[in-house]
Amino acid sequence: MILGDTQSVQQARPARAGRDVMIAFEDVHFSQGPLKVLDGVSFEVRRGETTVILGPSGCGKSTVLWLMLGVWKPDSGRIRIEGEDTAHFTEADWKRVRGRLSMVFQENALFDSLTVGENVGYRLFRERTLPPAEIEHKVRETLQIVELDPDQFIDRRPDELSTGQKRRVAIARAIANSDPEAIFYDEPTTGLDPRTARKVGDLIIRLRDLRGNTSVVVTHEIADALRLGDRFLLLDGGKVVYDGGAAGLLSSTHPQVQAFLEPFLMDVEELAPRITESHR
Amino acid sequence: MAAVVQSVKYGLFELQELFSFAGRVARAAVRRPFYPREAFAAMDHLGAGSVGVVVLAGVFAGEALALQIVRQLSDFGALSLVGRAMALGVVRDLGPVLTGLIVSGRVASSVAAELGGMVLGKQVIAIQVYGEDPIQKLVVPRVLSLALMVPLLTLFADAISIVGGDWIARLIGNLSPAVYWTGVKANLTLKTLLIGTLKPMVFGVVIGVIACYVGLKTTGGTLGIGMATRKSVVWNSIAILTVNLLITQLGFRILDPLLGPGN
Repeated sequence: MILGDTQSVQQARPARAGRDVMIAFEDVHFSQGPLKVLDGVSFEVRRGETTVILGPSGCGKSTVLWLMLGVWKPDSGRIRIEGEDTAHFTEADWKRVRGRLSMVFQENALFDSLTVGENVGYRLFRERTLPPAEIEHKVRETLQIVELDPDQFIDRRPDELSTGQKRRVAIARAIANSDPEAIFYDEPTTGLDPRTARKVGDLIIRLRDLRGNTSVVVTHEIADALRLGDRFLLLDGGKVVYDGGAAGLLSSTHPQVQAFLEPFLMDVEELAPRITESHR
Repeated sequence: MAAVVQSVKYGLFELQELFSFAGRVARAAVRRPFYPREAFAAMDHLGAGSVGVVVLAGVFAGEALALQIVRQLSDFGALSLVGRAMALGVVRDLGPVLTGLIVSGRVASSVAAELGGMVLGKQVIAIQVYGEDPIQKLVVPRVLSLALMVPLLTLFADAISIVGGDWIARLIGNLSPAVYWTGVKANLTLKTLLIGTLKPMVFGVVIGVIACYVGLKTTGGTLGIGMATRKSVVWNSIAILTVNLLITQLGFRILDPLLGPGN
């Protein structure tokens, strides 16, 4: 489904709060100072699916995540989480909701003053619902899931890790905390070398398959998006210009979708003959 | 002219935001959860770490003040008043202001840079996402630790300055230590001690609130951190001198009727 403007998005797919819908945006507007970041955005995140939010830099992809987490409030429109309208949420309501969500930050956002183990078990140590020995066991188990040797890494500080290791610790922190129902990934492979990016992508897929988490992945890397996603949203100019599956995205004739995909397609078209020649 | 009006408007807006932030800090300070571990870490880092520089500054500033007082009073044959003048000047003004400015230079810049770095690294949002209030976790422990540590540091600075005054009075003015210390004791009144304790406590709160406010509002990458640290030190220096004047004036107005008009 290719959509040209907000109006057509709403007409074609009215947001609804149903059992399978975990998060719904309904005609959400958001500005930062004079800059209009989101201009009537509507879409749904369905339970168990990986929704990928694509778009050029500065189009408001990460803003969508901050709005979902209640870090920022929309200027107008509704954001429903499991059917509940967040407009009237108190800080206590947000704490309850955030307890079921988790986030992997583009910047990793690991706490410099804490060890890897303390970072991974951050929420567990704070909530104190488990004894320390059990928390440590859970932290070690989670580090193994992200393929980091607990004995080697648990007492290290974030500044002693490589970029890829930091990203894996950030993912471990996101999944160690109370087994979240949904994980949000903000540019999870950006800044990583291709091999590490691939590993992180594999990890996200494995987690989804293993735990059935709902995932929202914000990225501008089309290759990663196609590997990870079930559904794709393309944001441009503060509006949703595409909402649908991978096949529809790639075959789209919508000008903004084509404009977004064009650099990637050109890369492939340009590089393919050279790669073939160099291998002859 | 329009630019001046714009700057004044912007300044007033910032001031309003700062006071609103201070209100949020005050509310957060009396609400659970409390973060004693963070507060003790801040006391160690922000307070204990400043002892050396405060002591050094106290030695030199105290001796310079004593030198001036000894020179002036010896012209009038009133060297016996050196101790009184030192106690009053150091405990009520020099000690608190000097310590406030030193802590502001050393700590306000470091707090603003630290929190600015955390904002840019999304650690502040991470704290929020993981169910905590950044003001309770990051700001309150720093403000409380400064409110406690600045008076303690001031006590060090006061003591060192007054002892330094004794050396100068002895070496330059040939004043007997007994006369000097009798004068000091005579002026270490309840009013002097109250003002000398209240001022640094308020300075600690002011330094903490301004530094955290500026740090948490950091934008614009490393350049933004540089600007935040500069802003934090400048705002704090101005605030300390302004608050010092206000407390001095209020001290006279409130404490004089209660404790009498003398020192």
